[in-house]
Amino acid sequence: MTGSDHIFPGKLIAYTSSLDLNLLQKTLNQTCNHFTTICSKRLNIREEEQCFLHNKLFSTSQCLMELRLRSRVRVIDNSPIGKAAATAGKPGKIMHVYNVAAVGRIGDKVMINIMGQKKKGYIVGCRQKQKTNVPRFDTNNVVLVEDSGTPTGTRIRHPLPSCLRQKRYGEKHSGEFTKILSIATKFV
Amino acid sequence: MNIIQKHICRCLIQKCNSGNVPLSFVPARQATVLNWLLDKHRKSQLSQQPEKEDDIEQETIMVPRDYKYLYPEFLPPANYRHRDRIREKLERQDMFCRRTMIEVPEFYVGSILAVNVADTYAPSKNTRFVGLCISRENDGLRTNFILRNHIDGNGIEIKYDMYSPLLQSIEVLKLEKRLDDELFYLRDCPPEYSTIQFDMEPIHLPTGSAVPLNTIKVPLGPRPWDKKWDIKNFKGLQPSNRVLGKRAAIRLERSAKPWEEHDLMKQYRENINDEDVETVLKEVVLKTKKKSTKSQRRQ
Repeated sequence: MTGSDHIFPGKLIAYTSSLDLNLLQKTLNQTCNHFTTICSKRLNIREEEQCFLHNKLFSTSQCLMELRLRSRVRVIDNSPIGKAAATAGKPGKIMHVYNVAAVGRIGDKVMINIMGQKKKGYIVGCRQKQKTNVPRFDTNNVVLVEDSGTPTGTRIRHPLPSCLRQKRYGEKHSGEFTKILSIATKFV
Repeated sequence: MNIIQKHICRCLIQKCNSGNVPLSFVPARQATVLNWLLDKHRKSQLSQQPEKEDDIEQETIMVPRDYKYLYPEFLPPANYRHRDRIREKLERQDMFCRRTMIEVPEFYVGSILAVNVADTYAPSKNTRFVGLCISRENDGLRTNFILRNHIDGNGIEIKYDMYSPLLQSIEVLKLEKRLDDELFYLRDCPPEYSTIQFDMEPIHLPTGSAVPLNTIKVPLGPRPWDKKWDIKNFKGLQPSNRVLGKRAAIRLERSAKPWEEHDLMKQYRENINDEDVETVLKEVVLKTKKKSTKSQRRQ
């Protein structure tokens, strides 16, 4: 910025009377750049400090509570391994989500590491934010399933979301869902 | 351009064009058409289809006082920037249409509701859920509320759109208010404070009585919590036993805000202008009158 380009406030007011907005914007560009450089010099703001201020602007949104790798889940059927994990205080950990997005939602299949064993199961109830008319649970619930597709437990004493019922008519895992839904007692 | 430049530019453009419009009403994003400009265009005689003024404003209709609390979702948003007269009017028409099909009762955060929703895959073709209302957002057609219940060791929350065609009925089992506007802290409270029996019978209030205020103070459960509820100054929460650190103590002090009772500007910004309220509620009174006359004819 050279000295001849300087435009002072007095001149600015003269421009405002004629409604040439393009010119006004140009002049403002120049004056504001000038203003910021003067301010930074006067206040002695170093570049490091500016960086620090910039880093403070990170987002502090709420946790999404998504079911990803190594997130812990609660087994809600009456299988002995699920009960043992609950009494020992060692909930199962997700090893893999059978899903392109790798984020587990209601009705997705997951592989779980529970009490040192590799098991498969279906997610029935999430802590995550849900759509309207779909229940949000306070815990991440899972029903265990054998490799053949039959559920490990014989009864589910906890409520299941009602939207799971339509999985029975879907193309994927419809046979396994009919077995899970047949041992359920309550729907929400 | 940086922020200062944008602000100065906006101020100057405003002052040049029209001195009548206050600066605070200029939206931050200039890409969209401004609301006041659109309104000006709708009313001007130069436009191809100039809008006719309503007769409702000139009519003398007595609006009952409690209508402001009975129909809060009909009122325009408190923030002036989010308003659009035509859109709100169209939404209100849809809401009246929906209200002819189901009865939407009066309820507040803290009341106990029972909701029936259509469910094609259920054997009875609908599902019923009973719960405590922990939040309610009044936003025209998008009005929604969240019910919470504790069933067999599972805390369950369901969000419902009030004007969704899937809703079959909304019942109020217990009409009550709480000390806070949102009760999300019940997630981390002992389960007995959010357990409600599904076969609960409705409790009727005597006609003409005011809505009772439940002044219960709920204790917090053990940590970890969803949020740091104890430093957010909720009225319906008991003070916790947690030993506060230096930063947390400062936050608790800040969250008290005793001066907000006397902050007239804040009250003005959060409340809707009386004239705007009246024009909307006059429409509501007219529509409800029509509805009642129709029902009489059917009998």
